[in-house]
Amino acid sequence: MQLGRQLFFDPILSADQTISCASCHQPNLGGADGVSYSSGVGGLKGNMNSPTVLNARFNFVQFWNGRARTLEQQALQPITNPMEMNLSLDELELRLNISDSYPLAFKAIYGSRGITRQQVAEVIAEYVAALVTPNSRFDRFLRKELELTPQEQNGYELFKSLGCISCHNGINVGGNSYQKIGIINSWQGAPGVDLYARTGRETDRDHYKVPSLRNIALTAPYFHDGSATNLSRAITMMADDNLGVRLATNETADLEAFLRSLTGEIPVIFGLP
Amino acid sequence: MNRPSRIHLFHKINLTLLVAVGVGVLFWFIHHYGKEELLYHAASVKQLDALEHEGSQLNSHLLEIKLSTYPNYDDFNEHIERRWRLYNVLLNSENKESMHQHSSQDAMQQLGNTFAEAEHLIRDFQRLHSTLRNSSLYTHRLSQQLIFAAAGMADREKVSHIFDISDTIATTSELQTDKWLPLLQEKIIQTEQVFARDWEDKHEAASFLAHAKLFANHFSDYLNIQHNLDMVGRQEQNIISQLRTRLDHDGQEELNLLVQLSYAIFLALTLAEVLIIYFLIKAERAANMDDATGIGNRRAIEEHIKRYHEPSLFLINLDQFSHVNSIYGSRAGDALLRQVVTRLQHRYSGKAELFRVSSKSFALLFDALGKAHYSQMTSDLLSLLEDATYDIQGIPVRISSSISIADIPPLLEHANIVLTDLKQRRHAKYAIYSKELGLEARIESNLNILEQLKTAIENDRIHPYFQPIFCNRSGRIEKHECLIRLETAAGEVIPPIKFLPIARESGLYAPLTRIMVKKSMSYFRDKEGDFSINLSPEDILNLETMAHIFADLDLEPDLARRITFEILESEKVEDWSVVKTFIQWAKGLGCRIAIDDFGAGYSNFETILALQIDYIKIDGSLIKSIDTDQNAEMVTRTILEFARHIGVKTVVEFVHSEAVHAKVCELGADYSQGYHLGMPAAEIMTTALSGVDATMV
Repeated sequence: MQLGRQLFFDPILSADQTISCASCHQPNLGGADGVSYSSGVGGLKGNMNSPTVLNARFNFVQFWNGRARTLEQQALQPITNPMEMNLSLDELELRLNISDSYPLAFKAIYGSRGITRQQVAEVIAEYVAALVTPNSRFDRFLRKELELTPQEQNGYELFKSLGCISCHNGINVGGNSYQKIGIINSWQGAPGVDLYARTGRETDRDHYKVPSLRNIALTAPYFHDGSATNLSRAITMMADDNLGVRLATNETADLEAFLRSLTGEIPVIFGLP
Repeated sequence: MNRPSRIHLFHKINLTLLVAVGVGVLFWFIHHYGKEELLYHAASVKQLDALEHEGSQLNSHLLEIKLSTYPNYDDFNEHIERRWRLYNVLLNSENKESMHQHSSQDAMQQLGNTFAEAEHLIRDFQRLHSTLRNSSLYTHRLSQQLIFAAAGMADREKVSHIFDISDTIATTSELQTDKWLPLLQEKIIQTEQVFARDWEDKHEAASFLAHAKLFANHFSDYLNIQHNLDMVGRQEQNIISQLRTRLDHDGQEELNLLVQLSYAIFLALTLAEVLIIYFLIKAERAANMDDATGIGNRRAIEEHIKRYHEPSLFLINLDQFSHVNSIYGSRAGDALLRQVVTRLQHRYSGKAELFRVSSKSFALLFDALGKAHYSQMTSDLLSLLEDATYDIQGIPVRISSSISIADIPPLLEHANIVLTDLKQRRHAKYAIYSKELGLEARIESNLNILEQLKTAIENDRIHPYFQPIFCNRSGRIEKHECLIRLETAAGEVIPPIKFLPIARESGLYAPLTRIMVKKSMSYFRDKEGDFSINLSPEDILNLETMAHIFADLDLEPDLARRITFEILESEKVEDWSVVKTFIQWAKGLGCRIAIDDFGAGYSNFETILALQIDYIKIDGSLIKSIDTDQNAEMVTRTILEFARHIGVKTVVEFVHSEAVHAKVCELGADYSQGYHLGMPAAEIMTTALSGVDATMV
């Protein structure tokens, strides 16, 4: 896991050695990067908002459109993505194998000579799988360790009664199904890399993996295009576009308070090694 | 014979090892194939069971989500993951079941397809479920608000429209039917028109219609997905049961194969066992068989005798067979033996069994022959063997044989005793064992003598006796021959004929010689006259004995000059050079040398000439009847003439009568000894016998 941590923070994984995994998944930004679109090598802008790595292991698929089933399948894709780290896997293996520390570290784990892409994927996935944020206020409330504030409590009730819960459910409060963004009011923004981009099925347009709401307060801006700059804006937009509800100001505030209770403890290992 | 039999052994071991390796390979195969395959089989069955179980869980997951107030898709996702995991394990174990790979590949492919399809359907279901759940929730909730508002305005048309839509959605949702969907869609269009009149800007009205439309547009899809899931589920169960049938079939086949393999192992083990038994029997037979002739050996006799009721054993000895071996080589010897065996087998097949007992003796084993036939059988045998001419590499050879017969157990031992006795009695050709022969007693007495000999040596009861040797010319005692005597514990004095042959064979001979040399020398140290001591070629060849004699003579050179060594001329001496060296050395010390028992059988004038001896002692067998036997006289005369010719003095032994004495004197022998002239005694004689003819002096 320490090896995965080292790789996660090492810009050696990008073509020009300027970007690491942590560049877009920053520990102090809730495992995301605080901007609508991340910058890749050579300052290239991406076309999707960087999702958090925190609790990624509980998502049923990885990426916004679920093109990776597992963390292992996910791990290498940003490295090779031309808009992200833009490093070929051959180059990746070469770089690691001629580096000072990696050959020994990998040999200690795998016992064999020669670092392979598969090993890199496994090591990074192992590390990311460890990045979970337990003991949020809401978790502790569910364990009956504490009472929510009345506002949080109201927010929780609204969350259920308004039907947010229809899509944001399960251990990650989301991250367990694909849903359409803008089911009542069609999405007005530019089309992102949605499920349709992967399946080509007309009915999959504007469908994305429902994001987890854990630590949602830390990962502004919101949505696949980062179009909602703050949490209350995101709540309002979701209610309007997906539920057809115009929320009262206090309702938005209550919901926001509830969502803030989903912020958990950032793991110690999520930081520079 | 060693080499071929060793190679044979090598082959046997190879063959046995081969069978062992075969069994090992079978075991390995059963272990590897059987165990691995059965394990995979069991694992496959387990995966199938688990998959079937998961399949049956699908509907309950669907139902759970549909009935629960707040959906949770995690369970559903885990269900999908579990199914894929099981599927991959199954795929792996199917692939490892190499023999049946192809048979289930298609089914596995189909199963994978249904899983993928089911997953798609489930994803769609999750999507629609969230949407429809919220839509029915909102149509219901908004309908209440809108009805209140419309009622406030007494707009009964709106109230009825809103109610109808809400009610249809609720009923449709509850009954899970698409029956009223067209009606619903129609209603929505109408309501839209009604709302458009004055509720165009009313958000709740727009939202209500949006949700109602969502419901109306997607509910049939929702039902279809469930229907399709049901179909896929059924398909899946079919494939699983197909796989299971195939797996059962494969399992049966594997079991059959294992059963066959176990038969093979059983057979291989049995074969190995049979081989071992076969080789054991062969080894046993080989141990009981003579290599050169292929007939039973000494061991075999013991085995075979047990089967006879009234056995009689004829032991046939080929006399001087060792000469054949040493002259023509052992191959020729073996060839001769085979010819002998062929003759014997040919004659006695069915009547007696033939064995080879030793290098030159055979045994014929008869059953119930009857003592009356022994004599006839023996002469038959002798003529069969001795009248024939054997061919050794083109050279005709005849053999001589002697036969001993025993019918009292232990047969072979008794026959051997008789045969040994027979050899000593030179001219007899056969003898029959009987208790009356007293041969055992003789052996017993031999053992007894040996014991006496030992104690005598230990207790200093070996003594020299002295027999005078007379000069025929002067009639005076010129010297004495020292003769060995054994005094028993009881004081009885035993002549050497009783114990010397036994001593020779027992290794006590050398000490006797040393004692005799020492005691004779010490006796004559303070006496007058010369004396002679007997030495056999064995003594001369015995380094230890020689070392003793050398030491004794070196110490007393004066005494040494008075000694005559009487050396027995013997057929056993192959290398006369040692004897020659001894003679040279002894003569260097002043000793004289006599050849003893000359003319007894093996005398060789040439040898005598080469040895530079001083005396020839003519063998008693020639002398004892010289007064009557013309031949003996002639031979003696020849020897005496020869001796005179080469300047060697002659001594005659066994002069037992006056007539003999007169005869030897007449023939010109130089010296005489014999019982007639003087008996051996513990002390030397100093006076001449009266019987000595004065005229001869």
